[in-house]
Amino acid sequence: MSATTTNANTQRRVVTLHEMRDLIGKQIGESPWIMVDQARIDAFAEVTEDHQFIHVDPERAAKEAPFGGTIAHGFLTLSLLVRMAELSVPVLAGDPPVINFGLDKIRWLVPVKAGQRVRARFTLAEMNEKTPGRLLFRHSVTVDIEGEDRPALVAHWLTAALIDAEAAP
Amino acid sequence: MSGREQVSLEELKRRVGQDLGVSDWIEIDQGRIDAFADVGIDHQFIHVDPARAATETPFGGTIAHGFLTLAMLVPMGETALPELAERAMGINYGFEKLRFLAPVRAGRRVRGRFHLNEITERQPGQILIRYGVTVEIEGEEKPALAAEWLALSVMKES
Repeated sequence: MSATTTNANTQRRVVTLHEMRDLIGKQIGESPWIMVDQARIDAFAEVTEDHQFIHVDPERAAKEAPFGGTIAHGFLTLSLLVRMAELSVPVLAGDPPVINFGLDKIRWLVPVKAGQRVRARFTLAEMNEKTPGRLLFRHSVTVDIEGEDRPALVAHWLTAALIDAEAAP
Repeated sequence: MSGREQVSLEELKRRVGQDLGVSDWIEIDQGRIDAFADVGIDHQFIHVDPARAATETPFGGTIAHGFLTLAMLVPMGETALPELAERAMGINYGFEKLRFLAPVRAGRRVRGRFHLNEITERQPGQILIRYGVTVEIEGEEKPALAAEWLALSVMKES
């Protein structure tokens, strides 16, 4: 679980609850490209203690793997979803805290090679208003790799906005 | 990484429906959370600002990113899971259902518990293993997360 508020340094579209309802079923965000270079992969290997050669040893990866070099950890590409959402998905008016609730059906489809750029596209698949004080969102997400046809991953991402039940229209 | 129990695919198949292992504890300290904030570009105060998190959230301080706790499944698997003798390469294939259930406060230790749900042959030489995984927080009843994790093993050519 991780709560979030918007960063002051991002300029996100602010929408009312009413406007958000109209966005159900539509693509609501496409992030800028983010570089996944070897330095980021190495840093991720350090912090998560995953030093498999396929991620951190370019020479050995070039020889022993079919990708011509190292690839990013699947969990690194996934972790970038938060930033990619922050840069592209509209926020609710009042900027309520948002919780990372979970994911359904994550599939890593194509490895991200070191030095490639990725971006995420978000579709608002569902919004559930049944729980008082909580708006539950299901986003269908796709992470694209620049220049490649198939995405790095697809998933359903579940988040909850903690809203003031009294103030909700 | 040495010292892990080696099992054959046949042996592993007999353990379907059983618990496979529990990992060592891994500490999630503020240094690790800060480093993850940099690499994942997620610097929300709830993760990186202990003073503000103490006053503005119900957790008494900072908490780990859910995706950090999740990524620790890889080193957890290294101490909890037996090694498949015929495996040439392991691929992180996906998740079926993943829920973050409780926040991990900075300084807590977590460990992974692995249950063997299913083994299927996806195509010749490729074995898909479904693990039921739970990440426990030391001293707490509610786990940090629960999920079904899908790992693909590419087998050595025999």
